[in-house]
Amino acid sequence: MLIICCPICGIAGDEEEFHYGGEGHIRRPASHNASVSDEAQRDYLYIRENPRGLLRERWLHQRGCGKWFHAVRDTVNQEILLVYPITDPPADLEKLEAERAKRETA
Amino acid sequence: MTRSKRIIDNTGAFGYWIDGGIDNATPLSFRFDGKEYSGFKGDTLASALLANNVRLLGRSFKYHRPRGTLGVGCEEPNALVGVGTGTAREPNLRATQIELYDELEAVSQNRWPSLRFDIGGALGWAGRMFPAGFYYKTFLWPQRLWPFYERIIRNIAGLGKLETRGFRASDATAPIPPAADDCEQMHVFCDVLVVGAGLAGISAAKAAAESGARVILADENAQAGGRSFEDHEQVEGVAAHEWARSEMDMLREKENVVILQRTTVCGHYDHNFLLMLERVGEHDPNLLSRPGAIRRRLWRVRARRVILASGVLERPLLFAHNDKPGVMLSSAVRAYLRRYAVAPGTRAVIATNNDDAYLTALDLHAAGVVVVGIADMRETPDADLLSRIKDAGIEVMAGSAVIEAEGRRNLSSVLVSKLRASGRPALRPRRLACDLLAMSGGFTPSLHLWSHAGGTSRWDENRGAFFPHKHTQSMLAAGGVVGVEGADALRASGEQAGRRALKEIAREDDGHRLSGLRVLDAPAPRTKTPGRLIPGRAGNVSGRKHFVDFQNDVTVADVELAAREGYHSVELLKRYTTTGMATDQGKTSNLNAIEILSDSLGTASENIGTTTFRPPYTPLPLDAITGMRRGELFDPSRRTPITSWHEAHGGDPEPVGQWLRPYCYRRGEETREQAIEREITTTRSAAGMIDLSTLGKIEVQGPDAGVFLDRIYTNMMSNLGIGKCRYGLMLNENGFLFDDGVVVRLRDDRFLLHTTSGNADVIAAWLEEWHQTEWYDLDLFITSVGEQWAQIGLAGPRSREILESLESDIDFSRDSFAFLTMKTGVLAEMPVRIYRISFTGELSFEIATPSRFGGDMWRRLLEAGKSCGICAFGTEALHVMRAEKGFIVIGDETDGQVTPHDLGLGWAVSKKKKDFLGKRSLERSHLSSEGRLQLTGLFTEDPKFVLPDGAYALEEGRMIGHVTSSYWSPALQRSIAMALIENARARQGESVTIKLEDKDVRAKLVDCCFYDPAGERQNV
Repeated sequence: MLIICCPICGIAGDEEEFHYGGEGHIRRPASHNASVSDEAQRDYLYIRENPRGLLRERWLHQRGCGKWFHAVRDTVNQEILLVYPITDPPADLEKLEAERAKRETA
Repeated sequence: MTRSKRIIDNTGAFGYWIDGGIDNATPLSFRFDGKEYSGFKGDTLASALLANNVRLLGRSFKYHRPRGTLGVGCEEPNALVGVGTGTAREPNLRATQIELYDELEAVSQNRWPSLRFDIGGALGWAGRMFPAGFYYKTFLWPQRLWPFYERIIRNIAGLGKLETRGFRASDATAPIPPAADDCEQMHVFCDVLVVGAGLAGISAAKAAAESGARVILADENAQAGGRSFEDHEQVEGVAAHEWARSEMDMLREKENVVILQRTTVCGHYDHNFLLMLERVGEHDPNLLSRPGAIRRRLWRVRARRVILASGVLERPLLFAHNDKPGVMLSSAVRAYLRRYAVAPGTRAVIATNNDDAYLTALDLHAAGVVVVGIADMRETPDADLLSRIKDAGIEVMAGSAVIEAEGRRNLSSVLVSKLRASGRPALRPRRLACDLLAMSGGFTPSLHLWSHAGGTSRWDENRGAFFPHKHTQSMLAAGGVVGVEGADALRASGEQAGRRALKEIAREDDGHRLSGLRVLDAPAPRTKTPGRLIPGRAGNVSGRKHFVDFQNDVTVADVELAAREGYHSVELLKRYTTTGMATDQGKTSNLNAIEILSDSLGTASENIGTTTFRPPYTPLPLDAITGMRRGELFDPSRRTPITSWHEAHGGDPEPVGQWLRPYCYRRGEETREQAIEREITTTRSAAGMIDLSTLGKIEVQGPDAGVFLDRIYTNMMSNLGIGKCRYGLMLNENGFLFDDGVVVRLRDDRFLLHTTSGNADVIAAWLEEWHQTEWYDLDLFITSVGEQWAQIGLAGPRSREILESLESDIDFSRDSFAFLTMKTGVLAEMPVRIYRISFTGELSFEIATPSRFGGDMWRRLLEAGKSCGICAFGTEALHVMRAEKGFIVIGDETDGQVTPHDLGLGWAVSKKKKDFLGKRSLERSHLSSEGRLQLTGLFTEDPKFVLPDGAYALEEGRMIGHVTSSYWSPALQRSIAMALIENARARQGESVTIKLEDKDVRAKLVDCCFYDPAGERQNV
């Protein structure tokens, strides 16, 4: 069970306080385009990266401040490398990987 | 014949003098299978039974073979018993871990009619029924006989049974026992959790505690010290167990250390969350007799660092009939001697592939047990040990192995054979008479907790076992589990881990972020290599079974058969043969199974790997998981301001989400059906009222509220006039209907949304999510006000009259208060919002008032309506009346795959709006294609017959739809139903067949608005 730190209220809490929201930064095509192709709609609804490694994902601090935010989680060892507001641009995963590698050699 | 007995010895060498041992000043009596025995305080059930010469403790899982105690702790696969009486009896407990108390009552399991004479075992026929994979291949054909086979298998196979008598409602003779409420849960944080209080664990806790860090030391046994009782070693110049005792005494003095004995760390989860089960009082009924006493405690722990000092488990050797009572693990034999002063036999043979069993030989000899000889699979045993053994006059048969155990029910002799260079036994074995065989196949690190949260392991060829390799930074390991041997080395290993944990925590406190990964060193190479060959594997043809997994009755032949059949992956092997499953989770069997597979496939064990270890380490009782969350506390029910009135007036409670709503109100001798019919008839002829406070109520306010709601609902909301109401539909992004309700515009920038009762929280969260994550540029707030308002539905032709009879500043007349509008004001001196909407088809008002007025408002309305003959009606009457009108209910007419068009609600889907949730998906061709299920009404041919909910409509053997709602209609005096049927709109007037279990019913497709289709009744 994860410990997650909410970037909005700053509280680190047990996973039970939070609600998972799946992969982050998925654009809703209909919000931006008048016409959306079947493929674009399919990708939006169903196609997910599901990577082995770093994943940008959404969490809701449900039993806390009630805000959605993003987290970068390593799906292999469950390390949470970064949390950031829901409106921020996608985190740079390569940079995070590099920082981590530097820590490991240090 | 006496085979095992208590050692009478005053020198203090065995059992009596250690505080981990027995207290012979406190005799206890207990019963096993109804027979009375005696033991001492400090005994386990297993040691006490052995002391009473009881060696047969149970029958095995599949073959019903007689079984005795194999081990001494949690690894025990055989000696499972039930403890307690009646419904309080708990099955499948390990006799080796049950601490004896006075009047303990235990029974053996899996035998019929008795343990000594068991039909299944006597016939021996079960053996041929259960080859590897029997689940999958034996009973496939003919399929119709499977229920017959299943009954036989269920009678033969299995472990302990739960006593269910008294739980059945039909069994009126036995009272239902009160649910136990003696389990609690604790949440705790610590800096360092040390798992296991052996020598390594104790010194790890000591080192970690030095700086004042919060330390928990958890140990599953009643006494700390691990194997130090039975190992003949010294730490810092004193006997290991004495060192352990004095260190524990010092740790107990420390305020920052919590010591938990009888506490098993059951599971390790992400981010160092752990579950521990503490057996607080189950070992002593005196502790439980106090009021409020706790029997079990489940600890939920967050530790910054975990130090795994779980030690090692001994492996059995594989030879024919290695499961006979009298064949035991060598270290267990030594533990019975040393801790419990029990000699498990009178004539012993030792079978080993390592040094450790020599210590057992010496202890047996010292206890007066005749040691016939040691069969050591190695050609050259350790010279130092050899000389000590020779001094005791014990024969060592180097390069030899036990290949078969003999005896009827108990062990009477073993066959020992010289091993050839190939490892196979030579001809002409020696027969040695004995009643005890102590075997040691080497030691396996207890890796379980290392692996639970993803720690990896690696094979160490030198030691013939898997060892911890990589894990996240949060877990360390010390002692036997990482291959450390020898008391001083164990102590040093623990100390090092304790210091390391402290150092890491201190660095983190300084703001350093440590690496995410920890990689352990391989264990130090050993000078004395244990043999690892498996002797005497004669296969199963001779019927001489070599057991790998004692608890699941899996043999060497089963594993080899599985390998031949292509089960080369160890995960598949496990599922196919069931090796490593059940309550012991293969503690003694896993490694042996891997080695046989490795031999069969001719590949190294390291390529095979281990199966995934999963929590719990030992079985976790459900009542410990439940804890206090039972009854009322399991799922508290929510109350409206009017709930007490319902309870006092015959309201028949029905759960709706977390609410308990009255299903109907029965008067006198009325049945439910009669009450519902009366409530409907009264409402439709005069007036009725219902508590609607449970409806979700969400306010959306802000300059962009209208724009936002246009994107949430399928219909237009931004053009709704102030004070007007509109029925709206919500879709998910797949285009499927998932909630409906009436939206009211309170002010220009303020809307009130009504949602279904069960969905209120979901919808509030749904709105928040879209506002925060997609349309965060819109300026608005979302507030759930569901509990701030009580709401009462007043329906029926005389409802206006009732409202007018109360003092109010609101004009209720038809011209002033139009359908689908709202008015605010005062009614009976209470502030109200009144909506003129109708779910029953009658003239109807919904009166909302702040919660604190809810109860009063309900009573005032009821009083005012008395002269009209008003009655309260429940949820079922409401459901029937709405069905008579053909109105849908989310969850009845919808199932997550239904669009508004399927339900004939296309009129509520805006064609003008550019975008709303689900719009693009609704345009998918599949959702408008031919053959979709469409909503229709159904009239059964027999008007008295009410279809069951959910019944299928069949056509030419194909399912073409199902009944979604079905009732007896008091208004029509016949049965009505709503259904989703393929192309129903085009087929109105046709009949379909509804398939029931016992008959077919014909029903005609009709319009689903059964009552007052012109809507004249509410238009007055």
